[in-house]
Amino acid sequence: MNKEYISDNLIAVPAEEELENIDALLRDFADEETAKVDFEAIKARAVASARAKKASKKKRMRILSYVAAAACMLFCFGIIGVTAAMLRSGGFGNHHGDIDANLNTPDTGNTRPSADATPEPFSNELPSEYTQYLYGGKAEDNLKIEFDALRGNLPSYMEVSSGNVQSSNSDLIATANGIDPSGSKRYFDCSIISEAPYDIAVGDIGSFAADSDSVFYWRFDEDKYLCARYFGFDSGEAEVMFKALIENFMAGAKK
Amino acid sequence: MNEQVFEKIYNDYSRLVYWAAYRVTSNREAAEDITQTVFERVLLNDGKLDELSEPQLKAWLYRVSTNLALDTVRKASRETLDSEPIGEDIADSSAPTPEVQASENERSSRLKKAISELDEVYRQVVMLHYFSEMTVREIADATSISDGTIKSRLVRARTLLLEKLRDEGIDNE
Repeated sequence: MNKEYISDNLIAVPAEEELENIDALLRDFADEETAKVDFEAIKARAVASARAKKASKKKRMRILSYVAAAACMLFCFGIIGVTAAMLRSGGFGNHHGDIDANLNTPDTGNTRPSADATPEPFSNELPSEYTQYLYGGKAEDNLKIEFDALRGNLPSYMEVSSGNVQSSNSDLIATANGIDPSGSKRYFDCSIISEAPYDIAVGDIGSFAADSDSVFYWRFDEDKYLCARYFGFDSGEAEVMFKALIENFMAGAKK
Repeated sequence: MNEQVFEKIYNDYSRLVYWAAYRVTSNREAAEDITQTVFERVLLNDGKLDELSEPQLKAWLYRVSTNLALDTVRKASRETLDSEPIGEDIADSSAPTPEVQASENERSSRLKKAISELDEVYRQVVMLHYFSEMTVREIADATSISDGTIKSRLVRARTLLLEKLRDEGIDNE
């Protein structure tokens, strides 16, 4: 036998042949024990279980995808709804029914016209060019405003600068200027335009007021608006005058 | 995973996985369940294992099997405090029953007993080398022990078994 130090003990190492024999014995024994294991059954169970888990996972993913899609749709609808609500609230409150309905004074924070529309001039100190301010748009050829009646609707200190004028494209129908008893300038003009800066239904009136400046729009046809501007007037006073102007207009149209 | 690839992996390594699990649990049923679980994970791995080399795959399988076995043993010890711990079928130091002795080769049963009586460090290398069919290099990598130490432990284990078998009256037949 060979002798060899292993740890602190001097042991006798078996001969090579003996080691080979025990090696073979252990291998045979291990093979015998391994043969007792039903590896095929284990494999079948593993495959079946993995398939079941995959199917379950697919089902879970399918459900999750449906939930995600529904959530996405709800979110989109929510965005659309909020956007629509914001757009609607950006305009005037519409008035339905006849012209005797009360005019709403809209929130001044959201009444700026669209970007390509002419901005409303509001000032007691009107530059001279405003007297020539043109809205543009189309006017009915035979439309008349009875200026005597118009003159009657305006305070006596207002001088109407136009007579019976048949309107034509891009011309003002009438203007009026004056100095009130307190010395403040007053200004009025009215015209027929084809587009208003605000969304108004046919037959309805829209208005905007800032301090002593008021603008009124009356949509009397699909593409026609009567627009009147009262600068330097109390808004309530301007409203009364505008209603009278509408009646004047309607009376003139019937003729 | 491709069915053929899985078949090959299973055929090549099911023995390794089973005995790695058995070595920790010393229970055949537990080792079977763990083997099933390991190869379920192989099937559910979605191709990630395809990137592993053979030694890496073998190491992964051994590691997963051992970890699952340790979890099983810990769980069993927590849940069955009043019952006997997972027994050591193959390392059962008690004498085999007459029925078992009749149906099994006597040498095998004595060899079982001899293995069970080895110190853990020697029993480990015997199980990994002969039952899980791992090379010295693979055992060294798996256990983080040097090749030389593994070799000397194997020699020592065989020597001890030989002495035990001689003492039992079973020698190199």
